[in-house]
Amino acid sequence: MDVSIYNNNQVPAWCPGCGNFSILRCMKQALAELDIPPDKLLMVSGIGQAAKAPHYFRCNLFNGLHGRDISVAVGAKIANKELLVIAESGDGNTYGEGGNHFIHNIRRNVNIKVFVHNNQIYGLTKGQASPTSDLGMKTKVQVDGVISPPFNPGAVAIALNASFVARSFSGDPEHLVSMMKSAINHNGFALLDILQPCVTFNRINTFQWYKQRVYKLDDTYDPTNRVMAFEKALEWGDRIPIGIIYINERPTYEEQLPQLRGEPLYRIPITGVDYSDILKEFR
Amino acid sequence: MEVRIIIGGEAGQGIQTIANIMSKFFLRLGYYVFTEQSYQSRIRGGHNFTQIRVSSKPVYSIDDGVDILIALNEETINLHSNELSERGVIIYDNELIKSIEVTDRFLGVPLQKTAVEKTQSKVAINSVACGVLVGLLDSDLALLESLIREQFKDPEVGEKNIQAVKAGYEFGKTRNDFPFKVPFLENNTRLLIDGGSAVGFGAIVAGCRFLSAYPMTPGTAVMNYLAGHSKKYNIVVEQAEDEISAINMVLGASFAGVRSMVTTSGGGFALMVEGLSLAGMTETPCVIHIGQRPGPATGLPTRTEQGELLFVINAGHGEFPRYVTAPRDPRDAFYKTVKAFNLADKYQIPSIILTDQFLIDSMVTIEGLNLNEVKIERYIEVNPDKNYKRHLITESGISPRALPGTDGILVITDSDEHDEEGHITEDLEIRKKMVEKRLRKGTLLREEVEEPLYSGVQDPDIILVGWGSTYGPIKESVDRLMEEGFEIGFLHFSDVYPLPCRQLEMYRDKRFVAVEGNATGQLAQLIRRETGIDISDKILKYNGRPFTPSEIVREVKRIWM
Repeated sequence: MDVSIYNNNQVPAWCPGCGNFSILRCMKQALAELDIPPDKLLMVSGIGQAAKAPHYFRCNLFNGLHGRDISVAVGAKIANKELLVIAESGDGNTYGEGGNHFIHNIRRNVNIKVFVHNNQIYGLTKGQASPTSDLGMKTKVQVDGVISPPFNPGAVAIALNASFVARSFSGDPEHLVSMMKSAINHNGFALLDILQPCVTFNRINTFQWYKQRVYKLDDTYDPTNRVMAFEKALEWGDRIPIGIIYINERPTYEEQLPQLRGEPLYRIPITGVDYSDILKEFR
Repeated sequence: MEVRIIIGGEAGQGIQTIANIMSKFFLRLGYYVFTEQSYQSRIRGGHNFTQIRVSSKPVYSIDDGVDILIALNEETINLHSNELSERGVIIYDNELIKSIEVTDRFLGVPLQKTAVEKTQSKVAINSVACGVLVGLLDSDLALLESLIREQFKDPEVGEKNIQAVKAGYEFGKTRNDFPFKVPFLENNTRLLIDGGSAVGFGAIVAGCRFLSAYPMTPGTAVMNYLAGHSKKYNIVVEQAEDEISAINMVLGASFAGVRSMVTTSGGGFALMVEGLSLAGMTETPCVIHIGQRPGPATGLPTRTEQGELLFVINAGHGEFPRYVTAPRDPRDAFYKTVKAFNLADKYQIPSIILTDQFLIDSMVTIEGLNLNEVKIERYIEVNPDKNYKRHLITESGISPRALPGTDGILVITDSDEHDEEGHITEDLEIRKKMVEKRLRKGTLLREEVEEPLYSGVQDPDIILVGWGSTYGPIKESVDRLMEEGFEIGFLHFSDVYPLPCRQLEMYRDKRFVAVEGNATGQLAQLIRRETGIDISDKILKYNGRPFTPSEIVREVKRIWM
């Protein structure tokens, strides 16, 4: 499918040079390579600069509240399992405001994809620390630097038996496209954490900072080994691994509910149903 | 003929089982039944009781007084013996309760000992007690036996319990001078239904196929009900990690085309309020059931109150239309739940069903539900125009609704202010048009609400005004006052928002008395806001217990003087 099928006339409200532009291009590329027509794709997003991304390409879209996109995505997928449902937002939205939904939907394992633009800072509210900001980062609010250690999405996800955990970097489009495709092709809840510089507010984790540190996991790495996966998820600092960190094939939510095994829920007729059995219960 | 029974004891002693079996027993004999539960927020122990009112005429409520008190513990005797009617009797376990002063009003039965003898289990106290009741009332033992058989899936356990029933029956028969007899009355097709099941059944019949909720008393009843029927009727019931997730899941499912609902209580709804506003902005239909209980905060978790009316109609930041209905009884709850789903779809708005613990947990006999009366209309565009715009500005304010996944179109919506397509906009002209479009739906909605139900004399001196579950006790009090010659009327609001005002305007020069289960007269405040009518006389109850007709009669007479 040609990438141009995803083009629309919306103008991004992002800063020039933002990593979001690269992620947007990669998104269209991955979808085109997988031949996913825009009308069969439902993007769900929350609030933040990252969460605006789905406005900038052709797709069905529910752009909801801050932090609640995963819940909306799960509800939509339960209603219509034929849709490809991707929740796309930032680190503050997904790991901060939406933390409880992040945790419990990893357990639920509905077949949705969660793409997180992780720039380790709040952009739209102008530069406060995010749950993934490094210790010591000074901001207008954290005036003496961040004192709470960062949230580690990969390690949390692996601890919760996530079915798919991957990390990529907006500065490596080829890798990012391949990670997006792997996440989409995975049957189950798939987390893709995308490292991304914020050119306006994050002066520490810059493009160069990431570029010098990220390295790709190679073929010798076994993503089904949970202990190794923990090790890779915890690796941060001088070297930061990117790639598929953990795969744990387990039954999805949909596969476990008989109600969801046949026709998509929204297509099952709700008229002409015989309820006389229920009436008998009231006698 | 009317007999009032109270069964009291600790949580876990099986009070509810006795009440369920006996309520069905009286239903099948042809009587009208009203059964109400009072319980504490605990799993074992404490003091719980259930009241069953049985009558040959329709009953809408519990009332003061008791003719048969079944005391499974001593506390029940201490708390309720002063309510005993002139010819009433107290049934108690004379092997376990020894310290009380026994008079000829007492019927001692070794309930527990008999249960253990017949079934080797204390649990069968319920069955013995049912037997005693049926013996005492000189009623149909064979019917009770068949109900016991229905109750127990394991025939062996069932047979043992029938032995327990028979033993209890013989104890009951020893009081053959007991003045209350409950013989077979008439064949009937009435149903025995509680409010929680009525909302749940209404939701299923309306086509609700997704419910997400976080457990919270008393709203949980509806989640339990749908879960119990989920496999047979293809309903997905998902217990959410919190109420915020519950409402957002429901909005996702509804956006993708499935009729969906949440169920909760005031505190849980407080957490959903941002999601309510999201439903308003994205014009996503959803149904919210709120079982009220006393607040603020955790309040009295297992008691009843009508404290959330003003909260619910004002909840949510920003301005958007909503439909709020407060059913008067389980029958009304069934039909109003269907209406809530239909209006949510028609106007693409949140619909709120406002019940309370009293309505949810009380069982009442109703005339059969007519499922043919139920009409389901989805208002979904199956073949939308190629230039489809989710938030198209129309004269009615209602934009055509299509589902994501429809061939050749995109369905886009946003919690930000958006243009007709659904994309974020900061064009302030569009903003103004979108606000007006959303509010136009509210104007049309005014034509959909049901006027309050009036009962009473043609030209009343005083009109009682109530809403929601207090219908039963107020109706009975008005009937009694009319019999005593009072020129009284009663306006009962089931649909509460938008507030239907025609009847209020018609009676606006009358003296109104607000009867509400809260401390500030919230409906009276709403009526003043909408019509300018100032209701200064109020009968308010906020101790966590429902009104009884007798107390309303007393209060009305006090105001009348």
